[in-house]
Amino acid sequence: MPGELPPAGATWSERRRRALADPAMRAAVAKSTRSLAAKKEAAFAAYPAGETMRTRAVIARRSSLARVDALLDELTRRVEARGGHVSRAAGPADVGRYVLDVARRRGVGRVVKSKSMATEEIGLNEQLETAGLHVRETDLGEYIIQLAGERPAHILVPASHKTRQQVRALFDEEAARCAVDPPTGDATPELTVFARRQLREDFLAADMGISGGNFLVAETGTLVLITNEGNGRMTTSLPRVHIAVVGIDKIVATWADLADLLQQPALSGTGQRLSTYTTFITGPRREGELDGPEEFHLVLLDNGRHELLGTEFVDILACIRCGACLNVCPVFRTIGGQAYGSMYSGPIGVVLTPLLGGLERAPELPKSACALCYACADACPMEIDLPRHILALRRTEVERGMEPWSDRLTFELWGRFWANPAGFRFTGRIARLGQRVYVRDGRLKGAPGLVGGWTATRNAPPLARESFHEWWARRRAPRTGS
Amino acid sequence: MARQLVRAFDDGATDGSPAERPPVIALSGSCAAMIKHEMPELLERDALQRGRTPATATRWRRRAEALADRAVELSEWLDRQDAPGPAGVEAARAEPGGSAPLKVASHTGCHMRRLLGVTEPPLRVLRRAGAEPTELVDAEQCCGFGGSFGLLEPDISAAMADAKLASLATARRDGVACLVSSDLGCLMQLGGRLDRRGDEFPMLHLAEAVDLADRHRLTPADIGRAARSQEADPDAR
Repeated sequence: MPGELPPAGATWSERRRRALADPAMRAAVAKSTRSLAAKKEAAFAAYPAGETMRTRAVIARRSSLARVDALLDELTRRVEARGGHVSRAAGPADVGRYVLDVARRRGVGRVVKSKSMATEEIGLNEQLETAGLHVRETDLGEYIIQLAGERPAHILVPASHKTRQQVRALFDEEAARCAVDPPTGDATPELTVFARRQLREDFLAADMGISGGNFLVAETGTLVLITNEGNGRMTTSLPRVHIAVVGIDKIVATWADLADLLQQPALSGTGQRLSTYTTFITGPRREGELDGPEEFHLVLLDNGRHELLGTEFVDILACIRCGACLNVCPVFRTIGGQAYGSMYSGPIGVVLTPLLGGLERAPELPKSACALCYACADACPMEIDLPRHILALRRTEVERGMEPWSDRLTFELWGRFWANPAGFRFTGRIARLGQRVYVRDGRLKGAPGLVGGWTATRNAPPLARESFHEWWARRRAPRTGS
Repeated sequence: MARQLVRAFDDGATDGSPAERPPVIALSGSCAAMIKHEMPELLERDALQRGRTPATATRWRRRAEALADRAVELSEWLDRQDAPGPAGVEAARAEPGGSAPLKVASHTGCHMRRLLGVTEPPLRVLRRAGAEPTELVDAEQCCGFGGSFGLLEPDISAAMADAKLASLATARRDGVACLVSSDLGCLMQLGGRLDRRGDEFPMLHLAEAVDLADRHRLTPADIGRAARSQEADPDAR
């Protein structure tokens, strides 16, 4: 079954316009991506074992995906044997229904969440809030984004497009709403103290914790969470009920596989050897244990993933959401994450958004949000061939006739004329006549149709009065001919 | 277009070893990458889509591969020619108190850098030509040309060019006399953007820089003159 993603919101041209008109955001994105990319390089350079593990991790991910159904069955048996509940969800509505069912049964009013791309993907917060639940994001970046009423702009660092001053303004507003003291200043520690104080109250009052999951280990039925703030542990241990919403692609067969994978999101994402907190959860609290939830639910989310198995795009499911491709992408660095109109931005978003949500939902991404520079292919620790996938999606759009008729006609004529020397020379002569209208001060400053896109922001040298072929014929032909 | 290119360089001698046949020199890293990495698969797929037999499609792939084997990017080819630098350059270097080498910014296009893995040859060629090449800050970031992307997204593309030109501005403060690249796409993008901004800083193709050096004219004044005459009649040179 195909998946479903929340709508993009504004149109592509509107999102692009907003992004390019926001120099503060662009400077913040450039700064954070440059720093994360450099940290990744330094981390691998200082840790040769990381590279060996990375190679083994790629193999582990691919071999797990090759038998994902069998592994999901094994995982389900293990989780249930430890007293947990497992549910399969085809898409957003299934997850919403399941979570609301549990919430109603257990009298849940307040929910805390740790960072989860899967729940962003299905718009879970909106579904729960519509049903009257109070939902609080507890990852610092997600908390900022929630207060701003935005979507995460980066897979790993969702609020990296915001400046400290902007964050302080959001916190001041929140303080006024809650009638508490605002932050004492806009230094990072001062902002963090405010968030800690606020979130602590939310953790203590919450009835339900919702998390995502970085990995699932089939052989023991274990959910693995890696975080840097410790909020994941609070979310999964303080409230009475814990629900984890995890994509089916997160599964690995064994702990040996996990050992190779565990450091990879940190190494490639933030340049750490390992994230600060690594949490393993196998079922709910057992008798004699002091903490942990009374109920543990695991919702396995499909949302279009199963359909990718056995296609040329299958390796996209090996993604570990480290964000390394975003950090090196020149387009991401220029327009930031919000412009993609999807919780998945950057190169992975260009591929994953249409694959999960349908090409019709984001037809602009493959052709307009990628310069095919191949930086993402080099950066991806899971060796996902993102440029090839982007080309394949562009080709699919052309095959389905999704591009404007004028572009189609331009490329078709272009290809036809330039397929032989006579056609090539003919277009040169025509262009030489036509360009007279557009040449100013010896520069080509305008052009019709698709080429007008070039001259909208750049000049071009005009075609020479005499082509090389003509010059060659005039200068050299008589000498060799007679 | 790709079929025509393969035909044009195909002399029918499919069995001769690539070493015995003359190399095909590409004047843009991106062109070399297209020929070496994309065309064999492209032509095979194209033949199948046009309803040709699998045997014919395989033959197209082979012909494209034969061209791919012969194709070499200009800086890589120049680097392999073990020729000494221009006599004038050697003399200037040997001479105590001779002029310091001219600082130039070197920009390597994305396909050349990542698909061909050619990053050192342009620097070596420039050094041999008597220049002191430096790479820009964020050198590995795309200039925004991007083929059809640059036509479809003029504003994003120009913003990417502006980021590159900001790096170049830093290098200019450090005294680089021009920007040299082995990719015509990047040169058209960065030069076109600079020109739109009314800035006449010279940009040269590697071949032009080497040509100037060979004629002992790799000097700020001659570079500027060469860059300005790029659109002029070939006869004028």
